[in-house]
Amino acid sequence: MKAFRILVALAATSLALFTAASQAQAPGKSRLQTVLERGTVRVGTTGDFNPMSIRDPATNSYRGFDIEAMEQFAKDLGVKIEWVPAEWATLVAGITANRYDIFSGASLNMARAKTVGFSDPYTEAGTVPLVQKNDAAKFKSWADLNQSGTVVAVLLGTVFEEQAKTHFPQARVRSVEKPATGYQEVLAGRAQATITSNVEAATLVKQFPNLAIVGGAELRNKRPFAYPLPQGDAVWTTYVNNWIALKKSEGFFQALEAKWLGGQ
Amino acid sequence: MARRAVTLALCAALPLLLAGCASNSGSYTWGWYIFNPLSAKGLGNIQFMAAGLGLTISLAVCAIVLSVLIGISMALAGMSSSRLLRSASRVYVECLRAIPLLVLLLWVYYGLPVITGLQFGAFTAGVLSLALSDSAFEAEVFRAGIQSVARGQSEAARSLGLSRWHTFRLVIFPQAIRTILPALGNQFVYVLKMSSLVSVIGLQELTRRANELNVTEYRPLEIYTMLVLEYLVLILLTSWGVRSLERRMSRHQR
Repeated sequence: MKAFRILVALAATSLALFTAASQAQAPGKSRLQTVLERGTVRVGTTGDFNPMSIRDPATNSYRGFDIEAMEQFAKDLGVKIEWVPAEWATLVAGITANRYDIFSGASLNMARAKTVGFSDPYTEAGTVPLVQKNDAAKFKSWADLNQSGTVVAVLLGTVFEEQAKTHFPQARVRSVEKPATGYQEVLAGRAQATITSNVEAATLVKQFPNLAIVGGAELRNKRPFAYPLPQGDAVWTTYVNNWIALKKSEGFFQALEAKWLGGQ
Repeated sequence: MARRAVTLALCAALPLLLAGCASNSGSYTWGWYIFNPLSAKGLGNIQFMAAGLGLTISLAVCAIVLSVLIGISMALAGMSSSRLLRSASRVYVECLRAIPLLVLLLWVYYGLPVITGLQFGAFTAGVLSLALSDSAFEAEVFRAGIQSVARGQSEAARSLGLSRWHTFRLVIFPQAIRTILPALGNQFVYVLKMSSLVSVIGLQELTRRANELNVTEYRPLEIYTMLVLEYLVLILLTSWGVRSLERRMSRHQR
């Protein structure tokens, strides 16, 4: 039993020492230089964010707004692109673990920004309400939906659940759990409306002709989209920012918005 | 026996399919058209999902082989006469058994590169985590099996002049394996199922593909039903394999 205890203590101390010793990071070479020398830029993407980053079942390759933008980025940089599958929950870990040099795009979030760097914004997303097409005449604005008797369905635990409670104090907000979704509730007639980002809404109305975005409703809870990058690499961050500025003035991002987000 | 397994599979699969095909059951309208093999898109979707089988199987097979090797070594160390080896085996089993597989997976994939600079690919990280996690359980399975063989057996073999290795290989192990196999079969099924967790680090196995397809088709219920069937088939095949192995091992007992 004594030997057992000693072993545990040994294991714990060696792990702690190991961790401490390796905290010292590699010397300050810019990511830009590393990428150019390697000849490939590693881009993290989730493939689960329609229409920004999607896996095409027919070809098993990625497509979408963010994918096209990143392909152009690699082309302008003169390197090949290597897609690294990632998850939203571990987006930050992928950067800190040096799994990818840039992430294909995420909403700017100050909690995330504490551990990863962000480029300048390249587009903007916001929240819009979705209703059945038949009800589109009845619901023309956020205020029209905020009535007692209106049911707004949102996915449990998402930001939209919180937003719905803020925007619809009069209506009844019903939280549904996966695999049910807010829009399925609307389609089934169990709710009059759901809210989601204009990014997702653009795809949903294409997929389900019975759904419509509330015409007169402005984008709420606007948030800019930017590229997560390794923190503290000024050369790499500046390079990406300059590229965004250039592409914005060329109208590149506007064209992508028109193509993938229906010009919103 | 094989026929019974097939019947069993059908019994399990049929209610699911029937429930699904009866459109408008409850208030949900099923959209099985996304898997219609007669349409180009449906066929493409089926192929997209089934293409994950290879990775799921190779992930599970590699992890099982590795975990059996580690498991046996740890079980033997746990029963050795050296106190140090025994303690090392205990620490290994207790620590790895206590780490949830998902946590281990995330730690190996995202934590290890930061701490040691070791960059395993998603497949290696997956195999390693599955094997490490499972080997702790297998070590106990092996130990239980080996210890279930009466002590007199090894004493008799040794007094007949068999070496320690031969005693183990020819006398103890063939008897132990009969107790080990059913529990080991459980572990194989466990590894196969748990391989779905590797989807979180981006490996395009069955579960990851289902999640990805969901993004373009917006039919989670149909897609996850399909996923359940895929795992069901794989696991029934595994169980059937383990059972026939069990029968082979106990042939001489009949």
